[in-house]
Amino acid sequence: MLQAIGSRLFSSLLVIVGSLALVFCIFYLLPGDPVLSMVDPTTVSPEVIENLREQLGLNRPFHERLLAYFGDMLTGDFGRSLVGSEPVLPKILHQVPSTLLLTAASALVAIVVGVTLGVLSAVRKGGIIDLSARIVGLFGISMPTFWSGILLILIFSVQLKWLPAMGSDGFETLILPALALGFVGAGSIVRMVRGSMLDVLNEPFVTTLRAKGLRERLIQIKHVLRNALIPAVTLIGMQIGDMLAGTVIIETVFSRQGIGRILADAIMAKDLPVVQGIVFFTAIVYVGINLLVDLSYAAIDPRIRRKGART
Amino acid sequence: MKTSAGAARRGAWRGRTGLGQAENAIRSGKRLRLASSDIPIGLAGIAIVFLVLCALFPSWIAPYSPTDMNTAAILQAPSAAHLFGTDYFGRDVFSLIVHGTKDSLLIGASSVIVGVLIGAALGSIAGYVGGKLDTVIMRVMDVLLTVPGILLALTIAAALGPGLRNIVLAIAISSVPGYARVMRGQIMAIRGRGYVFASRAIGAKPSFILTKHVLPNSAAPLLVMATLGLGSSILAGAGLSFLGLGVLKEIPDWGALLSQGRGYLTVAWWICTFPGLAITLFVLSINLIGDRWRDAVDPKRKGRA
Repeated sequence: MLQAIGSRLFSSLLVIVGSLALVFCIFYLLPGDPVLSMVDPTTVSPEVIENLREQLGLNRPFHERLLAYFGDMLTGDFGRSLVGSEPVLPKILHQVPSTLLLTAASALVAIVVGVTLGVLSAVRKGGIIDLSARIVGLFGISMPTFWSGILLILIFSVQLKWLPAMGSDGFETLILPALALGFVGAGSIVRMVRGSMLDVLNEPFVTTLRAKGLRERLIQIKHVLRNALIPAVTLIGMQIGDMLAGTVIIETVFSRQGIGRILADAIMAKDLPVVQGIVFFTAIVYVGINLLVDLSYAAIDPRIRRKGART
Repeated sequence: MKTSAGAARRGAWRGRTGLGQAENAIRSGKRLRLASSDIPIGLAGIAIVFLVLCALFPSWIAPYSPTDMNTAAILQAPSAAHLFGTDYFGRDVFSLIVHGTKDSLLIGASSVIVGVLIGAALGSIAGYVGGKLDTVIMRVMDVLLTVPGILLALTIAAALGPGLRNIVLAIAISSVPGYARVMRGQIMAIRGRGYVFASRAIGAKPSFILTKHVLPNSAAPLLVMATLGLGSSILAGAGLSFLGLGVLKEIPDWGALLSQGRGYLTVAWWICTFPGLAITLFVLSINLIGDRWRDAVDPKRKGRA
């Protein structure tokens, strides 16, 4: 088991290095000059621009820049923002809690709504709950998050005046963004849980359990849900990653503090170091979540546990 | 007895790959089973046809010009004269949405086409050639998959700068790994089939086998995936536009229109509400049809509907 975790950790590390290289390559290969977004070429002399390029190391060859970049990352130096010239790492870390809180709250909404509705709709197939679950599923994957966010603001802030439309202080400001972001995840999770529950309900072992006289509720929770959970957990892991990325839009809609908002600003300003830092951070969280998902398989499914012990 | 055992084994193998059924479903013409009683699918079809007409002939459908600024009718609520109200320049919101359809659909459709073409090409090469090339291509795809799609699209769009072509490229690239994976799996399943061996035995060239046998037989799952991908591409495009990376034109697309209306939420709910409704309506219709198609192609899912 420990060995399995070790090898998973190692491959996770490789993936993080790979995604770092990817972001570097995107900015290296694609056109666009960060220097020109820092200064106005019509007012600043070409020598100054050339100097700035020299300073930032932009005119060194690809492999030198890539190595220097990895070296900096290893020492925890994420560079300075091209816009405000403040160090990137503290700037990001300062905003991380707010974004993680929003992601966690959205994940909670998505998982609770998604799994509950998915299970109930599969168990009571064809009923009212099933219909509503399918509607939630379909609308969840079809509505843009910024629109559901704006609709929530229109209803609960502008019309009913129950909850604040913007800001990031306190619990009230968390509710609407978490609902908007969580609804998308809930849509995918409902669809997946419903589908895999129905698949498992058709398996012969369920008939056997029924023939043995087990209570239906026990069959559904202990046997069917547990078997249906593996594909669902994979999806939930991916959805949490997507929700983390979705904060870019939701934090903008709700004028919330967080790395999503910084990223949106940095992208408009072509602030490469900040973008790299945030993508790096997101990749780490994403990989970490996937690692947890893999490990949770063992907790859910004893067959995987035994296999893991052997290797 | 012997043949039936062989058939059963073959059936089990095909069942495992989920391909046998898909082929059979297509051969027997069950690809899109539109029963007349199926109202949602019918409505989805009508919505898509209407929106495509909006994209092709906007000036026939829109009652006003999208650039027409009527200063006497600023921020008017929906009425008979202005179905979806007017914005802060006195432009008719309905006409703006109708004229914005073209760019919104164009972004979705072209990014799916580009993504599928690149993904299918890479997946086919990886699956058919195999070996080191396969490893290299698929590891690159794995790395692309570690960054969430919207973040990858955002990063690429940021590097390229705003504009229609750049948005399409950004969304297409971020969707490539998914298509490549599915295509590779399909190719690997089909290249082991009897008819491929037979073709090779009579001396057919690899390019002939690939284009005449392997590709046509592996297209169905990819097409279903592309249909559902069209919905998410339109959402991604609207999202990038909303963040200001979109098409900088006089006539805004749906995402940009929504973003412009955000400043007027407290006084004019209609500017944000209707473009979002258009996006949702289109994506919902695509997803309904994509779901139905997938269920028809994959009979394992039939019991679920």
